[in-house]
Amino acid sequence: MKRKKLTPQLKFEAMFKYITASSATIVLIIMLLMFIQLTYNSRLSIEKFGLNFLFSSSWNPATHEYGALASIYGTVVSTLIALIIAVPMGIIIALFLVEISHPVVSKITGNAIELLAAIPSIIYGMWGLFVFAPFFADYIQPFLINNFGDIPFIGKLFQGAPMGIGMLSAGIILSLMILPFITAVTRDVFIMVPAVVKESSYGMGSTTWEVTHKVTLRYGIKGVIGACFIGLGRALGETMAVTFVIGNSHLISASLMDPASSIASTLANEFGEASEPIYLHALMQLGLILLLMTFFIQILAQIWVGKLKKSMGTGL
Amino acid sequence: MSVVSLLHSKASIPEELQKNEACLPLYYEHLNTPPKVSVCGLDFFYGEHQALLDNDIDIAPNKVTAIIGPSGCGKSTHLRVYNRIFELYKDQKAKGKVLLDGENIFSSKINILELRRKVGMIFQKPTPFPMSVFENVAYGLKLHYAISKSEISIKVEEALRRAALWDEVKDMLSKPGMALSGGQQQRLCVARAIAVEPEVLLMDEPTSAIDPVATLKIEELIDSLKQKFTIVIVTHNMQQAARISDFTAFFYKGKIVEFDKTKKIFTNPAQKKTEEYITGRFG
Repeated sequence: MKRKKLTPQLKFEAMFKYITASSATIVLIIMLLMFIQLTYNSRLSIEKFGLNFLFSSSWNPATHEYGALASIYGTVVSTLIALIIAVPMGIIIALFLVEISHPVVSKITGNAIELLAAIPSIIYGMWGLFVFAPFFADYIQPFLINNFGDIPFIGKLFQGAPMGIGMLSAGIILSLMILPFITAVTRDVFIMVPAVVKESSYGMGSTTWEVTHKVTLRYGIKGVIGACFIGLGRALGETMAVTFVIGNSHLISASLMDPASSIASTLANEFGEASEPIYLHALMQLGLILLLMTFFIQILAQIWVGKLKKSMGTGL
Repeated sequence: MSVVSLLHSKASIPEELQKNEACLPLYYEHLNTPPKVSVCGLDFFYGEHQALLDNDIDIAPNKVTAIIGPSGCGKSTHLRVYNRIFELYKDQKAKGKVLLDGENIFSSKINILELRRKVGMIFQKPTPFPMSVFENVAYGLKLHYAISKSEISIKVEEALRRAALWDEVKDMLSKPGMALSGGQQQRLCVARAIAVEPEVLLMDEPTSAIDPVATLKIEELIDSLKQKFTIVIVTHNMQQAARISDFTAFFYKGKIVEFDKTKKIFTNPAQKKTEEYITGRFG
């Protein structure tokens, strides 16, 4: 039998390893370059405002006074609203699809939810502005303002005029946008929980509710948290839909009815008009802050998951 | 009645015991107490496919009953009827009667949660829940009993001792259950199951995923548990059945071919099929 020469194979093997390694390295390099670019291009603003940029809420292109606080506040609050709505809803839908509904129902509903994720964000923005906001202003906001506006402390969140657009509208639209991600990933996590684990929980005499919240959810908690952070990441950076409905005001207001702005919406709105270098650099610095925020949130998520694993020994 | 040749007619059951509805007259040749579980004419279906045909068997209280047979013969399927765990799957159906202390478990009067407390189950693979060792054992206690924290601690220790695990884990009760070794995990599952004071313990090949030393420990454990519980164990391992069980049922193609004292099955089986299986000619 004729032996094959093996040298070319070894050469290819070496090249293959090289290709995989360099592909992975490119990702790191791009990350680093972005960080450097953003820092470099915001140097004027960093020099002028220093740390004060983070704590000032004035945003005045006429006098060139820039502070990121209003945008950061808007980003954080709209994202929080979105998470408060979408996380429990996503988990509940996923549990229904996996544990309770008929397989046919869960297939149809599951597909519909995945379709939601495929809708471009501009569509959400247009729908939010032209359909949701007027409806919200006519029916929901008056209800909230009338019923909750007078309660001490909480009431502050629900004061103001029913304009339709504003912080709460942005949060709700965002929650709709991240819901499919959270649901789809959480559903996959629940499907991966081994049947025998669920069976042994049912076998102890648990109800479906007890099985899901004491065992299934805990078993897949790592994946569920991962799903929430995917949603969080998307909500933080979401631009178009938020720009349409948040109202784009650089004022910090306690009321969720009032217009606000997020980092992403500020960038989308104002890049076109930023003629002065200092204006441009302030916007770049906003971008840098957004990048760092997402970065640190991911790190926090990792630490959190690590701690959970230590205390419960999660399965997935 | 499928089990057959060795059985007499129902008429030979002592009259005072007939009302307990034991399925098999055979049972009373060995024991004078009513059966803990009595299965009569049990059929089982996966969708259209019939997996069990007319199973009759009586499970003696405080004894170990082993179920043996080749892969796919319906051993596990049979066991999974006793606590109605199969009902989690919508395409699975059981027909016939399963009496627990004379009461049909399919009756509408039965509370399924209470049934599953009374009939605990141990699975092929250890299934510790994602929580601490202590929480694992306390899991069922909290579901079924309104008891204080200190009482829970006492019960947890008691269950772990009975499962012969206490000495190994007493210093790591707050560690995750999944951090234990495979054999320890399986004993943890036993502790979890017996903590709620069940009456019957179903074991579905409990040692098939663990090493020989751990297997030995589980077997010793089973022997000590039968004083308090009625045990039904499905096993692939015929030596295991011979070692630990009092009664053995041989399943083949969804039917109970032979059911008798373990000693009789392994020394002098009445059916040719049984003999072929235990001598390793098939399966």
